[in-house]
Amino acid sequence: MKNKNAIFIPLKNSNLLCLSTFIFCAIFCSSSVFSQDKDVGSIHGNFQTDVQYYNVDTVIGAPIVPEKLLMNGFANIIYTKGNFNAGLRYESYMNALQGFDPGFKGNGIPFRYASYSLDGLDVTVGNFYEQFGTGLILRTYEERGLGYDNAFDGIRVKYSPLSGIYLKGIIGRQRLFFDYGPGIVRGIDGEIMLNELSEYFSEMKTRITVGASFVSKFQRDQDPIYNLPENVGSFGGRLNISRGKISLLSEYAYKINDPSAVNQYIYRHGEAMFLSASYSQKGLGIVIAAKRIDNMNFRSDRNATANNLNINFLPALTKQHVYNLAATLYPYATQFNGEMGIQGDLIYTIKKGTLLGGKYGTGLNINYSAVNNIHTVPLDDLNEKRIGYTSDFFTPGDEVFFRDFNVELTKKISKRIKMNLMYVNFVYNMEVVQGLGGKGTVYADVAIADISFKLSDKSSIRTELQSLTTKQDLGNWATGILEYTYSPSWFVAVMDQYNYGNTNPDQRIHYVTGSVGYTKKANRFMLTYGRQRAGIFCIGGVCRNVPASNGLTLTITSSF
Amino acid sequence: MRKFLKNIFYFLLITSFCACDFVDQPFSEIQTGNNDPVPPITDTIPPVIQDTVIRKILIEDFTGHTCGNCPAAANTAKQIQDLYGKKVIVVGVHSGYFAKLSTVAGTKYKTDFRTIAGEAYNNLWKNDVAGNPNGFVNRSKIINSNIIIQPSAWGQAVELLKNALPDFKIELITVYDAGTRSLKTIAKNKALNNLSKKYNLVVYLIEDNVQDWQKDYSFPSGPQQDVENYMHRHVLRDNINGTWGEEIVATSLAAGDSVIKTYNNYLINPSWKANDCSVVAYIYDVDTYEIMQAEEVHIIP
Repeated sequence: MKNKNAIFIPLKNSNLLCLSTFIFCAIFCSSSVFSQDKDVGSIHGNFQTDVQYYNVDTVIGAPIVPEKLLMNGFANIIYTKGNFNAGLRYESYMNALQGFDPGFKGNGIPFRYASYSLDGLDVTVGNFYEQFGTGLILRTYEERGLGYDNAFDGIRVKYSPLSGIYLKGIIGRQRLFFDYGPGIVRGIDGEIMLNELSEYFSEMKTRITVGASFVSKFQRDQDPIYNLPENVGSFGGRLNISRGKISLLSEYAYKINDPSAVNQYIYRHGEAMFLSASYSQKGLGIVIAAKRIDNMNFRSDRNATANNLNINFLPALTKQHVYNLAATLYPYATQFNGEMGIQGDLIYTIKKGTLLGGKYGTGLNINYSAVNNIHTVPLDDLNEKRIGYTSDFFTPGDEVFFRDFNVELTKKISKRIKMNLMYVNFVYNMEVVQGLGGKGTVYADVAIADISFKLSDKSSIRTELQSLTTKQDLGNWATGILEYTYSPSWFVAVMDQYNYGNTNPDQRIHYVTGSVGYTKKANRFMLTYGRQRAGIFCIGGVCRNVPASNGLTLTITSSF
Repeated sequence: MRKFLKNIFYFLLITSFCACDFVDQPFSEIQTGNNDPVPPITDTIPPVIQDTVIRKILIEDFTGHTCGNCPAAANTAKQIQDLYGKKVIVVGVHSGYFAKLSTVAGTKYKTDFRTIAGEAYNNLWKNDVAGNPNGFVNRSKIINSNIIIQPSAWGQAVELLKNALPDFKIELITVYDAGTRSLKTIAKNKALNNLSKKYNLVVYLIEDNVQDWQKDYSFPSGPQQDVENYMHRHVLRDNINGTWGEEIVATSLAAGDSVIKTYNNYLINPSWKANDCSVVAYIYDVDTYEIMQAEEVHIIP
């Protein structure tokens, strides 16, 4: 039996030495070749580690951690000289922290690259991240906190033949933990910035950018049941227009039949559309956006799930909350298989000297987002054509996935006191968004008060009081945070999250944590001890489940 | 300028046609009638195997009654079994988050299909963290170096594993006493090659055709997704000889040697239908967990 990945050499420990040699040779050679040039280039980078010691805590349902201590560690080392760049990222998971995919295990160099640019041509070999448009058909990125990294390993060429015309071509395979996915991704993107093309266009008040992309993935069909497409193509177009205070963004993407684990192996095509209009002037900003997604999960392995091997990125189009209860209990994640959503956002500054504006002015942010399923008519053809359903492009379905209405008021009361007040109303289809069967829909109200007191030039106290009330799921929560900062080096914080409304009296638990942080120049240390409740951690609509834990966490970050 | 843009357009057009596979009907590789180009899969099994033993393949389907996508996976397992016949054995392992009992009042999802062994496997390999449905195919890492395989790749895994030669032959004999509901299982495990690793034998008791609640997302959203009389197939009920089984090879075994294990007086739970119960036995490599051979027999032959 031959493993289909056998000829592809993953970058594990055994390759560390040769890679390091490669990088240092590159540095040495470049400094030798350019020995007459006094600039020998520069090396910079950064380091981060999170180490957690886990206590047994059956009350909060914390999973037992046999290792007791887990660690994630990262280091980037980058060499730059003129137009030349080379770098690598070392990663270490011994073993990965709770909540991260167990596929992250051991040590290795999953990211290394070299690039140069000359006369409008930019070449990258090795690993790279790339995005076409908003990412509806291609976007790779790293989000360390989520354990998300779908970097390419291959070749990228960018070229600008004329001012205002930008072309990109990529080919590569995607990172899967310390290995690669089985598919090969090929893509080209062209963008024309009309106002850069000539002097005539540059004087136009209307700014116009048009772009088009094509992405195709190849994966062998070894399935004995289905006749699968080995090459799956996707294309997209975008048009952005702005004039004065108004700007319009639009993007559409289409994908041919791509049966996969996520869409239950149907042969329907995929579509995604994103529209946004905004108006901004001093003290006022308005954004209205809409999107439709239909069967647009696009991965370089048709069998991949979770956050693995995504080729594209579908934005969430909902407010990314930062306050703890609103951000981690009921955050929305994009539904690849189908959703229609709108969002409206108003930012307004009430002028100084008015009744509501007071002495310093008052910031007001009103935001509303709504997401439903798409309307579908099932075809009941899973034993024949497997198209799955038909769907009218402009008709939303009846099932509510998410509603979020929130108002935020930012007010400076005096030179020493600042205040943020926020109200959030959620409707959250837990069964769909989190995939938790039987959980139904949660209706929740959240109220937040965030008040900062500046005690002196160096020290300040900040307090947060949060309340979440709901009759569903785990019932009501209250959170209190008290944080003392002595700048520039120290901060101490205490937080208590109390699930006082849980229908099970044994689960009315206080989750108390204490943190202390110290920063000196480029180094930062933080210790956190206490209980952390289970929750969902999301960035940009991409989420991971974080199980409950009890223990001590040390975080060190550093850069050079 | 215009010529340049035209060239780009043509390039895009040509590329898009070169790199797309629009699949027309039929989507299925399996066809019936005179035009059938695919020979029955049993004909493709290598005919010359010692003792005419074939290496069977065990699919462990990690599922749960509140997992709405799991019925589709069970359907995939059935399609694979239809295709490969007795070469493939399927076990449904209800475990993890989606197998928990509902706390909502009523009768839905109140039957506990979980087992001690199933929970232990889920805790070790974190199947529910990976997202159900998923499963193991001989606990092999043939797909993406990962033991957990998505249902959409089970068929591919079976296809890649189907010609592997067996190292063991398992003969199973069951004696069931309907009066006392007592089961005796004899497993004769014969080495077909000289073996020098550590192997364990695990014996499952499974029950087929169990009707109970199941969430099923193949129905339109709403109450119809809660299916009352869903037919749960191949449900893992218990491990007769423990979660990780019993050692049959400690260090080495010569070709032709046999190790016989007997399990007496296993009492079949009164709520399980004996006519639908089977014993599934498998031998796995203790270091890699890979299943080397599997066998299934009804408790009432």
